[in-house]
Amino acid sequence: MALLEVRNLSVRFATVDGGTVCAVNDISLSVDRGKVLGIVGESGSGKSQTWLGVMGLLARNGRAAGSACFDGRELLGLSHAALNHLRGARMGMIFQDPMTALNPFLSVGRQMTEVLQRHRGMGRREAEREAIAALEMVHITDAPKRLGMHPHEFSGGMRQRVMIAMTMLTRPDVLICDEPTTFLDVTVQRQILALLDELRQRFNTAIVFITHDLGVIAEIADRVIVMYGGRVMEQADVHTLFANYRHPYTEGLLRSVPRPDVTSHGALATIAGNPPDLAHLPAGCPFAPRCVYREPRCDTQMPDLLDVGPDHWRACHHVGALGKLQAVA
Amino acid sequence: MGALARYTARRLLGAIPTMLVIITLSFFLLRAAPGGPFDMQRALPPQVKLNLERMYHLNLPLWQQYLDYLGNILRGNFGPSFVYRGTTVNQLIGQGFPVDIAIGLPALLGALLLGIPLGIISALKQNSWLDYFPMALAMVGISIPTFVVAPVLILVLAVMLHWLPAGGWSAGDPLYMILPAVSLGLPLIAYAARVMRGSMIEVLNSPYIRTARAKGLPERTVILRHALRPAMLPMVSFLGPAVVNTITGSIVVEEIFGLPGIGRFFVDGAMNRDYTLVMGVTVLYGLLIVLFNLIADVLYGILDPRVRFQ
Repeated sequence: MALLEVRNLSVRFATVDGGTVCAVNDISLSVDRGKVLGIVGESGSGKSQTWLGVMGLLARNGRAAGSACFDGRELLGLSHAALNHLRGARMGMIFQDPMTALNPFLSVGRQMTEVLQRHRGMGRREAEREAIAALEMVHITDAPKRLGMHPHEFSGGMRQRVMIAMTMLTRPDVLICDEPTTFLDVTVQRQILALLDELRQRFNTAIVFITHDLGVIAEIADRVIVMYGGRVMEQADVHTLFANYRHPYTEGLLRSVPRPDVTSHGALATIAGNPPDLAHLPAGCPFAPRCVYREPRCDTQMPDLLDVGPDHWRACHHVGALGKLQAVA
Repeated sequence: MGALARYTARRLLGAIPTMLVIITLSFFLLRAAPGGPFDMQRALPPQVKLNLERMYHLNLPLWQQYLDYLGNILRGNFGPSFVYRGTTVNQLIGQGFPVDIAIGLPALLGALLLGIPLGIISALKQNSWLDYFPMALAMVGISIPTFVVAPVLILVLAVMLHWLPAGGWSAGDPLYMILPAVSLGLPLIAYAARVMRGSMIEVLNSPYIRTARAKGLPERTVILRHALRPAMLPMVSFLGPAVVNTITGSIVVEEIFGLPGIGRFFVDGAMNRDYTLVMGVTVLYGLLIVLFNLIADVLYGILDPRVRFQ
């Protein structure tokens, strides 16, 4: 049985003018122990809100509906008190910008020890020893001295290491990483990816890796979910997705990655048009307005997520072959 | 702590040129204003006026008067008042200032003790009646000027209910302080609550609060440990000038309640060209502003670890 089962999850935000933003629409997925699930999509695809919804961290005007079952326990509708025993203990989350995600007013040591004091009932001394060990685990040197320092005294990559160390203190079953490498240099990015992989192997942690960067996905993910307009467009293991994608949006994403081996004199391929307005989603496929394979029914009918191969799913009406975009690159 | 002491010392030294500019500007501006301290409705006999001017050294060249004044100020001597005969400015300030502090401090304390919690509650209970009600009240508190609130308070609590004296002052008697302090404090409470609410809401939306929640910390810990300190920063920026405004800006309240505070001297002095008195009060206000800005900056640095005292 999967560690985390999300069934028909929707996330809605009430807007000030009385409207509704449908950030996540009826998505289902599962997370397995020790595996890395990659979530790709552009801004506004609902990739972050899905997981904030699962963690109960939505903004005040946000509501999650559906089901998210963690190790046999339903998370949605759980009381704050009950949720707080899981968050930070068995489910950890790290965020995009490690400068603002760590509290600039508290020392790194305080922010780390409070997790253990809260979830493990440790005293300050013992928690500090654990925190030092955790910092060493993420390859931060001089750890005892670092405990008393504040986040602004660390570099960007170091801060993200601190975030990871802090989240891994309780050895969570699942670690949700919301674009953890987006703000970092490419070299630092690789180090963080290597670190996450190391921790996954060591503790059999399930990792959910949210990103818009397909290069990162190729490197770290076991399975990939491609999201658009708050829906799952395609879902497959990482090799199938890159070699044998079956969704026009996946094609668009892959084609717009710059490739040094292709000497093209033209401009980089892009997906024409803009992401959908989540407050006014079309009745049919959200990608239809930008899709080069668009058919009449795409505008009126949302395609179901159907299997197109072993453990390979896609939501698209188009039956013929893809490849229209390949000519561009 | 060494860095903090050095920083304070340097800031105090830096205040000297500021004070010099304040003194110089107000000295010459005052003298540039038409009329003098001994111009009465009926002109004085020339000999009398000459004697008076000689007595107060007003017959000397202006630059010499200026240098003499600077020398006196350095010795802490603000000189004799021209209008309140036989009294020095130091004495007048010594009488008036404690009155302003006696009503200003309770007003400020009230603003802190009531305004901050009210603001926090509003921020936590955003868009509920616990938010709307105090904030509407705060809006009223800010909008209605003191010269309306104070007479209403007097009418109800003094004239109709006879609970408190309608005005006047009796040194050390708290009964006389209540109404003036309340009139002075009401808009402050309102401002403090609004500032606190705004900053708390902003902090609660910041990524590190989301992290704190993701760590499974109970909401109480999230607020008290993670949100309160950053949310206090705008309060500190607000309180620095607010302290000075409360102490110096009580002229209306003094007038309504007939208090022997310093504001009255300021106004009377300006009307009567009482050069030394106006200068004395100006220098005092200038010092207060410099001092409380420094205190606010130091507090800011103590609250925010990113601020370095260099």
